[in-house]
Amino acid sequence: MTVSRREFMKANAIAAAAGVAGVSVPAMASNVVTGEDLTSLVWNKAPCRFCGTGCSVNVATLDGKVVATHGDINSPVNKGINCVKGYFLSKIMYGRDRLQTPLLRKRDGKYHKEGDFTPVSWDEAFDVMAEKFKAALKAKGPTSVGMFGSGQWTAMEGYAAVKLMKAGFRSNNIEPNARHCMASAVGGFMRTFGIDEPMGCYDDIEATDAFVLWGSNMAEMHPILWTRVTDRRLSASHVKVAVLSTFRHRCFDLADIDMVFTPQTDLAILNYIANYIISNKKVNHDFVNKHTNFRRGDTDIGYGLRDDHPKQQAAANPNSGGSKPMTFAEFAEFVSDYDEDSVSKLSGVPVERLRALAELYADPDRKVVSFWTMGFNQHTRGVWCNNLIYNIHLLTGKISTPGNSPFSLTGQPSACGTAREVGTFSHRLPADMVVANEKHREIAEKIWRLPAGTIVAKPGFHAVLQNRKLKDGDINAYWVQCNNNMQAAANINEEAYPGYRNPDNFIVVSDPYPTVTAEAADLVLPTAMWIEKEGVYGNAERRTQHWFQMIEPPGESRSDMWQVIEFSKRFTTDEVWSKELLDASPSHRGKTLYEVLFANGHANRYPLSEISPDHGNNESQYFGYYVQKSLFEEYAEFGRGKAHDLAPYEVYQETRGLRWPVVDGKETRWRFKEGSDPYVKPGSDWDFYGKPDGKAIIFALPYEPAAESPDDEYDLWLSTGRVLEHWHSGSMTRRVPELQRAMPNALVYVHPDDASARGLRRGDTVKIVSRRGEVRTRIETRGRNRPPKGLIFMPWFDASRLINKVTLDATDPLSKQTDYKKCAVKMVKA
Amino acid sequence: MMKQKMSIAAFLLLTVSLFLGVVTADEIATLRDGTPIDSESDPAAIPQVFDGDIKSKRNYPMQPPLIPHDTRDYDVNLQANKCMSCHARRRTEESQAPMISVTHYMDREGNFLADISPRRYFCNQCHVNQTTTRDVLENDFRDMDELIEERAAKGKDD
Amino acid sequence: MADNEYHVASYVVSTRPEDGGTVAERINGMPGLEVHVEQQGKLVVTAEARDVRELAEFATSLEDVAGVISVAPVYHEYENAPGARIQ
Repeated sequence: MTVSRREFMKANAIAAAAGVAGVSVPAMASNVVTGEDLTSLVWNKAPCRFCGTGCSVNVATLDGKVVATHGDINSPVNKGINCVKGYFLSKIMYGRDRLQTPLLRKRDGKYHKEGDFTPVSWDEAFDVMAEKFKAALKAKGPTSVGMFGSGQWTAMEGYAAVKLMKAGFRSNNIEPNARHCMASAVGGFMRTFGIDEPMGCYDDIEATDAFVLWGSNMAEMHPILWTRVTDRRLSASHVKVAVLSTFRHRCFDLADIDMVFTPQTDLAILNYIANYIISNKKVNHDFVNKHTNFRRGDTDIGYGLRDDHPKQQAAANPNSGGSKPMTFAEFAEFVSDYDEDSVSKLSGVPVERLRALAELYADPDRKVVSFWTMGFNQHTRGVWCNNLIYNIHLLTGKISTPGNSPFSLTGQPSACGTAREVGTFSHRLPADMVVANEKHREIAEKIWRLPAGTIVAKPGFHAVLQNRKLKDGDINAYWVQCNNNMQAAANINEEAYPGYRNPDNFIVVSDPYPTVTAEAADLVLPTAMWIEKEGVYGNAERRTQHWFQMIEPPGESRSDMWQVIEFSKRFTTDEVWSKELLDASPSHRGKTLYEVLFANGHANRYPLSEISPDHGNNESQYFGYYVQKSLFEEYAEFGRGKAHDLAPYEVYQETRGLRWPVVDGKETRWRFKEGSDPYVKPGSDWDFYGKPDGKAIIFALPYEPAAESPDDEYDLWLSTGRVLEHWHSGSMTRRVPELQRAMPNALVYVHPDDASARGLRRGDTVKIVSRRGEVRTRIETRGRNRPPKGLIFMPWFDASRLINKVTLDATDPLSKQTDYKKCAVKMVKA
Repeated sequence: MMKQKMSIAAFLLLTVSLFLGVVTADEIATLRDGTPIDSESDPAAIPQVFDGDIKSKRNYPMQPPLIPHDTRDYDVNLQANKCMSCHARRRTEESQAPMISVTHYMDREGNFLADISPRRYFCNQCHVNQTTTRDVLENDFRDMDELIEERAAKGKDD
Repeated sequence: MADNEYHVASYVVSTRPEDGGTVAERINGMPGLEVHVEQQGKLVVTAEARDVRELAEFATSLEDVAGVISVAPVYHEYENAPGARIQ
């Protein structure tokens, strides 16, 4: 075979030179291997593995390997194009250091917290893991075990995990990494509308007259949506683009109105716009009277820090989401404080820009799409920001019609489809239900065939709290799947790292690659990724998309779902349920959690014969039934008929996804609007049916300062985020040579004057230091991001430069989402 | 608390041996190249952008080509598109730069336009530079040509 | 040099149109080099070698052949060279 490969190489050499020379190639040197069976590639569709845009790709496999991907021309989302990351999807599974066996820390042949990672079998891995989980449950009960999952889990994986934790272990300590990205958006939706997820869809882009980007770098983070925005802007001259951020980035290249504002003052600008609309008499009173209520929200609500932190103790209404009714007149009075001069002074934005922006919203003849992601969500008043942007669209009635769209962009590929819709949160159940609501618990217990009282009413520990509880030794057995939280969570030195390395704790990490989170763990499980398993994702516009398994995972790696379901076999109800519960339901006695949760006749009701004959399905072959479809259809029971309707599973196999609610085979593009949303009460025109009276809420909420602002010693704002070339923590993209070479390391982006004032030049090594830790990197003064003086920006994709040692774990007190965009640092030459 | 950093490639060799059951190790986070989580290492210098203007082979036909030359200060914004000053069809004879692919003339619906489609306007979303860094992990992606040739060879030997 | 290392490279060699045939014969008589096409003074030549140094020797020797006007390297591929896959 070596010989013919060399022949092939030589033939290529000859053909290449002949091509250059412009002479014809001798017959024997033909370098085009044709013959249909040789060049036939097998193509299958899949959603992209990366961001919440949810592009569809076609994946080509040959001899069990992925050899190419292509933007799916049939997908309405991306119509044949991808961003650079998407174009390299075919390489993400093939990093040389792909995990292939479970690894357990051992010393002298036994598990030891400080031991070295040693390859072990799955059996041994689960033996130790089950022992640790059982010990924790026995000693301290269900609050001592926890699970940290992902908005990159498939919907069925998230669902299996929810069942294992909430119904099996009866612990609500399950959280997704989506807590770090979308929790404020969810809080905003629930508070304003009573139901989650955007009411518009991507079609709004082609229909609108203006785009306003609030703290959202779409050019790098939602690139394909940005191409649609660009297309619209450059094809229709009346369209305007306004971009607001705390530093200049690539989106500013398309901006007609560009605004750099002081961090946190977005709250003030939002209120100013409401004020402008009211004082210029541009309120759509008809809409407001029919479809909205006004409420005054509680203020001074703290910063989600530990209870003994002085800022928490100083808060008047810590963690309060409460509110009182108010009138329109009172609301007008409230926002009148936000006049253009004081807001300009506070935010640093010139008055003309503020007016121009407000006019986009106020002009009744101009349709507006507002986009936001982490600028609003990763914010200590993130829920308020979400409420306030909805205020503007509600005051003007610019909502739920084509082109009028306050659109909360989702970061992860399935934060919607998995984390939010399946409810993989410490306080949630599927379809927007919550553990605190008795009726909701009853519905879940019924679908899950569980005795009444199985599900615990008290919410578990949210993401940031989980790290604190690990550090304090209150959580002792912890399973991390499909995320890199040691790199992603704020305040590594004080909370995350000591939490994982606490000798009382046993940490399990499931990942395809050895990440820093795996390194901080005690047991590492090799995990199948993306198209190595069948799955479903749900993107930012509520589009649920399906893919089949296309290749085998390497070595002994297995999917997250296989791991969860197989692990459940290690526990019996007698071991993990209370005496009261077992007495209440003797038929559940002595059964494994697997039998109760996954093989109870309902959760496993679709047989193996239904799996696709053209694709592998490792999980189903192993467990003996069609796992993905069975779990999906059971999960769908929660939402059908409740405005969260999903189509039958097969439909997603055929289509490029459908936007829920899917009723009678028809997807819903605009929710809450009569004619488009089947759930709207006939004759109501707009019906915000998430609220009992069908009315959305306009909230009066003020500007409040950030948790930690620059001072004399720590004199710079630090903002963190991503870059185009790398997804999240870089565990996949930094293993693709072309992407790694494009951006090998995380730099800190600095204003040239801030650099020279500190005796620094581009390329110098610096330390970024906060009260919590420091990180070393190199300065960039002429990069794609141009911060104003007083602010620096550093991305978090680089495992060798952990910026989250520096960040602060302050959160929005309502959403519990970390503010990654604001803390105080100093920068010194290293 | 500073540590001498191994190159990523060298570190990779260590961890790959681990997974073959040969070596046990504590620091397995390959991309952190041996630095313990609670310490900090010296950051490598910002590498140069490759400016050799030599095309590299695409991994598969539809892959957007990498940018083989420095593009510092090449602005693409509402006012101008610097890339198109060489890569637009009418400029290519003088610039000898490759013309933007014909796919770039198609709109969202697949219709051909006379000029570059606005949806393709921001080149950098798909085309990236390469720096000269050597800190690159090995990747076992297989080129389809190799696989096809192996198949053909196998077929011949049978 | 690793065991089983192999390099192949190709070149476009230019000569005066009337010299093409003679030059081709000369090159074919040299170690490591092979002419595949000769057309109006344009030759397609491959060099095969066991390591980079040998390849360089062969390539340089091409330039010294009487009648050769220019040598343009076009292609180089190798197998099993140390560091071959770390770029």
